[in-house]
Amino acid sequence: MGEALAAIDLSASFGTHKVLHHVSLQMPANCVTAIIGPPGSGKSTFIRCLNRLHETVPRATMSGTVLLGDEDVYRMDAITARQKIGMVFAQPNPFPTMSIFENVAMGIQLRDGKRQTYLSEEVERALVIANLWSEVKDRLKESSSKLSAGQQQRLCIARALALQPAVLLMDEPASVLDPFSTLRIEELIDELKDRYTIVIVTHNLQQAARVADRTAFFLAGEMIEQGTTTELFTTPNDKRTEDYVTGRFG
Amino acid sequence: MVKRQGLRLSRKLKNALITTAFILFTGLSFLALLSIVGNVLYHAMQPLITHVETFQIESNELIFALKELVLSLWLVLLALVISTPLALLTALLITEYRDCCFTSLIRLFVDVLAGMPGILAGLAVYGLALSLFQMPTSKIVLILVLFLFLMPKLSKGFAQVFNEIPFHYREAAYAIGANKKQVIFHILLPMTVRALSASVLLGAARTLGASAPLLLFGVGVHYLAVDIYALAVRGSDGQAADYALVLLLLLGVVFSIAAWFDRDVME
Repeated sequence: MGEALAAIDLSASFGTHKVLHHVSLQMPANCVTAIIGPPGSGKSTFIRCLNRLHETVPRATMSGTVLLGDEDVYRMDAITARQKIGMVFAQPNPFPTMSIFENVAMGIQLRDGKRQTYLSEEVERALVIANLWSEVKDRLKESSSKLSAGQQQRLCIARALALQPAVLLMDEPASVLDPFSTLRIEELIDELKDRYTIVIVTHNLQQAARVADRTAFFLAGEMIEQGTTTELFTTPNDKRTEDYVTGRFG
Repeated sequence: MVKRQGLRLSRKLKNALITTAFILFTGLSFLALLSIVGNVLYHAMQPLITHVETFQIESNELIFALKELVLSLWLVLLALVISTPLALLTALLITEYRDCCFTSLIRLFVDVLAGMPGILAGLAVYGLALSLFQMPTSKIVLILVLFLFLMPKLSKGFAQVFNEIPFHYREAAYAIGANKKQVIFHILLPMTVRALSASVLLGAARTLGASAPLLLFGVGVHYLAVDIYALAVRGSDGQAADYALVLLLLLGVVFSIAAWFDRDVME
């Protein structure tokens, strides 16, 4: 089951350039929370702070608190944090030198060592949840680069799910996919929210409206407004949110 | 309207100039390469052409050339054994540990040393080993020269290979809980092993063909490129061309293997 995630007074910088200013946001368990906003509004940086990926970038700094359930993510080991809070990126990025099986097994092998008897079952479980098992079950040893872009993205989702995370972060997961693959990813998000807490960054307002239970609007590194998706899209409190969701800018 | 047409015309002119310059320089490089190969072939094959009836293969000459080649290969191989792991560590340091305070300094050193003319590597070892420590010219000294010539070039080549791997693969590995060491050993090295091998081969080929680093140590160093130089200076053009032909053939083979290794990883 998913766990609630909360960001409290989160700020982030790259060197002297501050990109996120004191953001606080609750992301309830087993809900899809969408982060929307124009380019450069700090959406991606925000979710990269949630699983401590931000700190892998040279000269990147952050302050504030991230809570997973009751646990402070920044007080636990960074590797454990990333295993509990999985992430899928905009660009499908399966490891090209590895097979489909190896890609999904990679996280488990890094965590538990290479020779695990349960590896095959775990890989199958992750691929089934990611709706990819039926398409790849006979070609698990083939290179992952032979899959289509949509399949590669679902493989990346399976790779993240293999570690059984509580939260799944998705940074514009369908931005480079065709409409059919996008639909499949959106259907998958809908299925996954029963098991995981999902935070999705998207620049596609229609997509946010389709998949998200809650939505937060970011602008210039600040969180302007948050609420249920219906509220935010139909009766926004802030003029800037209204301008953005009605297409007056962005 | 007139301004836009003017801009378009200047852009077209610029493109035409760049294209012409590119074709001209490529053609010139190709001509230079052809003239080298043609010259070597002409001198090497001249006895066969002019004395076709009485021509006999000078087996001694060939054996000497092959012997020198094996000795040269042996020296380069030993230099590679020392320089490859060190170059790999240096490249990893300057690409994967950018936060480290010495990284910029090391990168600068590598850049400067990689651009250094070969003779300076020879001068450095000559000055230190022979003049300062009074060491005799031995295989160790020669390997040291080749190491100094090869190591920075390999480091720079390896660093370029690592930099070509998009950062999102590293991010993907971090996101499933890999630490830096695991990212290097499980993701980066398997993805780059072909390109790294190609870099090693190209470095070896470059070192095999370089006479400048070892010139200061005299002509008796049993190094094919130095022998070619010595023979040419002595006026034995035919023999120099034979040696050069052996070297060119070997370099051709090495470059072909390197090109095969350097195929796109996605293939």
